[in-house]
Amino acid sequence: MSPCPEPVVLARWVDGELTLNDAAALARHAGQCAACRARQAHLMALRASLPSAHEDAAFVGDVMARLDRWDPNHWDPKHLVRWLSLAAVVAVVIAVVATRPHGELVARGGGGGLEVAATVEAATRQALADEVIRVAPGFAITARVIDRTTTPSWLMVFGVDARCEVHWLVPAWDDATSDPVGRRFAGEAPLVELPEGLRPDAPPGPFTLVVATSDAPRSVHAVEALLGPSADDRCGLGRLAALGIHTTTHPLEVSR
Amino acid sequence: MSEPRPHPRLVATPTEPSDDALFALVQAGDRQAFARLVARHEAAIRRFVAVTINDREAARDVAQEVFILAWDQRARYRPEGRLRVWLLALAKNLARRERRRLTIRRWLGLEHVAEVAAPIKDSDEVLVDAERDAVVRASLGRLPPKMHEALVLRYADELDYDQMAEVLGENASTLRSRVHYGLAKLGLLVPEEVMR
Repeated sequence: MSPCPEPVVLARWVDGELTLNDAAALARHAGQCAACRARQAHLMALRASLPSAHEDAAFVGDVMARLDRWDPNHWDPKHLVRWLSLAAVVAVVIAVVATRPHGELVARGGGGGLEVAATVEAATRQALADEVIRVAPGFAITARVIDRTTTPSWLMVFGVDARCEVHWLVPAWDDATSDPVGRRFAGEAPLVELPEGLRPDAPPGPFTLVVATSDAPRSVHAVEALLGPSADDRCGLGRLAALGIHTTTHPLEVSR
Repeated sequence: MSEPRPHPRLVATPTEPSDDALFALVQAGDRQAFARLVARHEAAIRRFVAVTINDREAARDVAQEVFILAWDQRARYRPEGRLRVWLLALAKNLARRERRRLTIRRWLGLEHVAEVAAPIKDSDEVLVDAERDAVVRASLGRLPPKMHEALVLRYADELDYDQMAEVLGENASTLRSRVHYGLAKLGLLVPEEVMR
């Protein structure tokens, strides 16, 4: 005897949607299988007994009475409510768009499965299609990380300003005597909102946001040692590959 | 010796005018014809609207609105033998709009979820039927609404898949799959002994 079909195949059969060959094969199987015959009868019974609407003897009369009162030219206050609702939704959408964060910059890859979305907040609105995001002085950067790692991975996020000075976001670092390493991820929490918010005292001009990942911990000093003015005009970011650090960069422009 | 039976074709039997014949009268402003059509289709419309709106009073109100809208838009209907499909399509739009409105009102705390009245039970037989109906209804309610909607159109309203596609604005093969998975799932939710 052939194996019993999946419930959905029986449902197709009951619905008359199997091919003739398939239906014949199923009928042969059911001829030998009492369980499938019972399941088929059950589905047939269900199909035939979908509950009807509750009796409502007054319905037709109520519709006709309502039609008698109905005037196609009558102004229905519901219309005003609908227009007001629509206007409110439009207003909310405009407000959200006008005040939304400046743009979300997503970096993938690096030390194995970290997906970093850094959000740049700015005072002014700007088309998201712009390649270079312009920001006002005093802007902030926040970041969240989707952790798809299965092996440990370390994350650093920082900005490099027009003078090739580094502004740290992850790890938050403002004590030159300490030398913290990047933040470790290892698939423990799939989504992490980084508490640090960077408000760099960046001078007007280009500001490069860098998301850096590595398979082993790297310290702030080790990274800073490699960065500075360079002939390639990228403040030496290319040198980080020597430390096994993968970087993704996003150009910002700090307005005057 | 019994009387010879008349040839069936010679027997005059009163026949109900078709939907399109009645609607032609409706298009000329005949309200009695409209009342007959409402009586003919109200159960299907109420049942369909009730799938989308889980509030009996609101569903009844929307079902009435469907017919008011049909009257208002009667000039738009083309007599192609698809009146029920046209009404169900109107019902879908009104019901989904009402569901959005109710969702927003509930979200804002302006509306309480209405209690669904229990079916009336007044004899043993009705009791058994009502209990079976209640189990099937409750199980249908556990299906995703789109699956529930597709099962109702297919098996309660007996639409074919092209008509369902017209009502719901979706692909017929998607709806086929939804019906088959829905029926299979319903079969698992409703115990076999309930249907015997």
